[in-house]
Amino acid sequence: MMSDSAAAIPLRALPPDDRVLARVLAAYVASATIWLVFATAVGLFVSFKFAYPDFATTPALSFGRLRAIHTSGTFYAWASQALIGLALFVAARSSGARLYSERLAWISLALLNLAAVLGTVTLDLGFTYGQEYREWLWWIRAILGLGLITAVWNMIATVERRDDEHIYISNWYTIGGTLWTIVMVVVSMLPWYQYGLGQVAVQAFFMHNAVGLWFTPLSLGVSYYALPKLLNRPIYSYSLGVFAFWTNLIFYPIIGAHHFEFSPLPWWLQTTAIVFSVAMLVPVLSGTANFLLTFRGTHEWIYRSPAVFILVGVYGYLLGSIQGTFEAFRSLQQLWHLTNYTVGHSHLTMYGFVTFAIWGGIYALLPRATGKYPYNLSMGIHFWLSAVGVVIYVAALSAAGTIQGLDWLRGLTFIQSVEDAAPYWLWRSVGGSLMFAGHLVFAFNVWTMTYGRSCTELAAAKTVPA
Amino acid sequence: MNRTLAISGGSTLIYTGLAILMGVLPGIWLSKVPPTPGLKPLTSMEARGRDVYVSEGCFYCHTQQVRPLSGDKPFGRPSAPGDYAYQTTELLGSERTGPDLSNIGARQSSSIWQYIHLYQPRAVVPQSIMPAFPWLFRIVDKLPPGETAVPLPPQFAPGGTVIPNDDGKALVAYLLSLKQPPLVPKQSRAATESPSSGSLGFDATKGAALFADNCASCHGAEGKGVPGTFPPLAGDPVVNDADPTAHIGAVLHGLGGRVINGQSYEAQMPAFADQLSDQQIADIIDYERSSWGNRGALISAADVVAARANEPLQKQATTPKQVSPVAPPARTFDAAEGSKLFADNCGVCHGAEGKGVPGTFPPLAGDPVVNATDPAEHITTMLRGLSGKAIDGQKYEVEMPPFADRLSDQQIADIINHERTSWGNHGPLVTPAEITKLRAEK
Repeated sequence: MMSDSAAAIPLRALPPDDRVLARVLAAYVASATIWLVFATAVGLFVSFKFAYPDFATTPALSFGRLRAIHTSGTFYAWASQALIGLALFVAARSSGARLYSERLAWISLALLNLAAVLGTVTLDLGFTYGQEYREWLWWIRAILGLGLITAVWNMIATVERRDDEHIYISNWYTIGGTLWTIVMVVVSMLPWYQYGLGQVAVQAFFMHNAVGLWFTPLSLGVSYYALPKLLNRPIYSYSLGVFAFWTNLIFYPIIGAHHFEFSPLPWWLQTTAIVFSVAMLVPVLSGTANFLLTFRGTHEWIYRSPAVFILVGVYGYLLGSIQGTFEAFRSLQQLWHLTNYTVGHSHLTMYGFVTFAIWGGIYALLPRATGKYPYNLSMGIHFWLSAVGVVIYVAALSAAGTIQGLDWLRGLTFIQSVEDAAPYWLWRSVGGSLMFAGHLVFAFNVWTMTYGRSCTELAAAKTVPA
Repeated sequence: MNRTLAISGGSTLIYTGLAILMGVLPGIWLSKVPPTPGLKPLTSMEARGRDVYVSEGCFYCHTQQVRPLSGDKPFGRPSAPGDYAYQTTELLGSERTGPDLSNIGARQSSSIWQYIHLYQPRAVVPQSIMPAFPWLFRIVDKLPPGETAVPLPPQFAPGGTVIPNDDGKALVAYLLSLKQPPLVPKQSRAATESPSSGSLGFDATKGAALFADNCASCHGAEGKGVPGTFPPLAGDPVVNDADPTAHIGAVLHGLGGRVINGQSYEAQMPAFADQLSDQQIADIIDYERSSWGNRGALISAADVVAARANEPLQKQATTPKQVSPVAPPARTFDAAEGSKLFADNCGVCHGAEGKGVPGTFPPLAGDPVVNATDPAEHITTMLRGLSGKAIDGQKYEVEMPPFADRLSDQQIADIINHERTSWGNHGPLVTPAEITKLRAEK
């Protein structure tokens, strides 16, 4: 369904193989962008409900239903589609090979979109499994799983076409992350060990793994390819990247229970999760060091390059992960657990890290595929709106969460914590509005890089008058 | 192909192993946790209510996990693993934009209040930001037989009579079913009244009852504790020590972050110095020292008095931050405590300002009963509840729950005294003894 519209891109200048790859990447990015605008519009809408709770009181527009549409939409429609599109592109380019199957790529995209549409509609009608980040009904998650299986099949088969024995580090991360996520989807769906507290244990495992073994490796993988392209220099250390890959794989699956500290889950399970949350500093610091050392000496000009998106992503990864480690300590969870601080943290990681890394990847790779470049000015506007917006957002919710936690510890009435957090919720909406405005500018940039007239075409028209 | 196999096959194998270890096996094992004794399976109505709860996303803002932390105390006792036996589609939640609901059926047992709150939260809690759920209700011209109208305050009432629809009734049935069963069934108190304990020199019946009320929710009726969370008392060296100093100190001042028998316990034990008398503490300690195979030397109330007097030493012996000031033997009205108890137990209906909700919950400010010189009616209302009464010519249908079983005499006295000295009221103060007396009369 995407191929027809994508075929409209004028790609005469490119060889046929590249034309296929450009069509695929453009379609994935365009589709993901539509979901980004939709899902963040929903997020912005519900954020205003904290200030105006009686605004739009209907079932379909209620907070309890739209919240899941916002999270599932950003996770499984925006970020997943964009990352899979970029991963397919990276698999082909880094292996110096053709994409294994264009048809399979369209099937994956269609399945991902089908799951997202069905998931959104059913959630809004009130059909939900009621588990954070796995709210979609099981058969919709099965469609998502099929989308992942077809995508990873395509990635592996493409990488297998390489001449070199060596597999570029990006593909380690993207293929590994996708395969693990398939395992995760299966584990989360099987029913027979999900009763009462048993379901809590599975949920503790699932909800954090979905972030750390899906979005993290794919974002890092894409960055490992995009950054050297933008900086025109190799990654600082290949082996440091491999080291971070294996340590991330071994430590991350164990830390999920830190979302249920002081809960009735067994104390040893919680303690194990805390220990490995500290161990996560190993892959995080080695990964971050690898990126920052690659950036070394380029700071004079990266601010005029899309690499700055990846730089923010790297800092988002570092700050968000270290914050996650500290939040796992019981002493700090007494204050912050179950407060809005956690919502701020999840936006620092999913937005400040994952989404910025995806934007860096798109701005780096999409113009190289289509030959169309975005305007520097609109790229800059997008950057600053989103960056300032997310800083306001995270700061406001970190403050709100701290105040809530202190109120509870002081033994004030619960409603006092609601009143005290209220001004910060308004600031969250301010930050969210800036972020959303940034997404509209980003959508315009995607348009110029794909189907519209880009600045390169305008420049060509000016310099070479017909 | 070899490298591809190492990366994709090898890493997936490792991940699958870890997924089984951290997700599947704990899931299988914990799915078999037996229900907490006294926990009732959901009725079909309540189960439907939980479906509504899930479908409307209530769990995004309300947790159902009470942590063993001081900030969670207003929500109930700490949640036990068996509390979730009938809760598939776990609803522990990850965020509290609203309060925890684990024990909401006990804390807010008025279905009328729940209906008003769901129809328009701001009708009963003006500062609330909870969404309204008008689609769980119907508006009819005439009240159908067998239905109960939701008595909304005039400014929130639509034209017509509001009644809950089936989803609304089911949701409230589910909310009211959320009651934490006491971790000690009432019969076990009787079981511990063995005649032989009379010779021990302390009142075993009282000790058992006090232990059940104050300690058993964490340490268990059998003194076994909850492994890894609450330490066992059976066989504990401190409980069996001939020198009772550490034992008394722990009960008086609380304890936290201790390593017992090589196992670290993070949950804070609260201090009881302010909550219990010397005799009560002595009874509890003696009960612990003579139960479940323990053979510690018994103590007397005088030992507790001495330990209280020795406060500076105790501060060093136990955790300093848990030390609370010793209560004077004859307590007068503690205004801060009264205000807090009022907020926790009465404020939701009668309002923090004592204004009530016109036509639904009566105001306390200026109320003749609250200002009466004879406090008997005020006290019996608190103890036994009230319903269907006309006050100042206005009739109030909503039932006020009895507090006799929920609050101690001291707590009821504190609340009554708070009411009698606030919002322009000038009723004479009451003493806990008066509550004790009226409680005894039936």
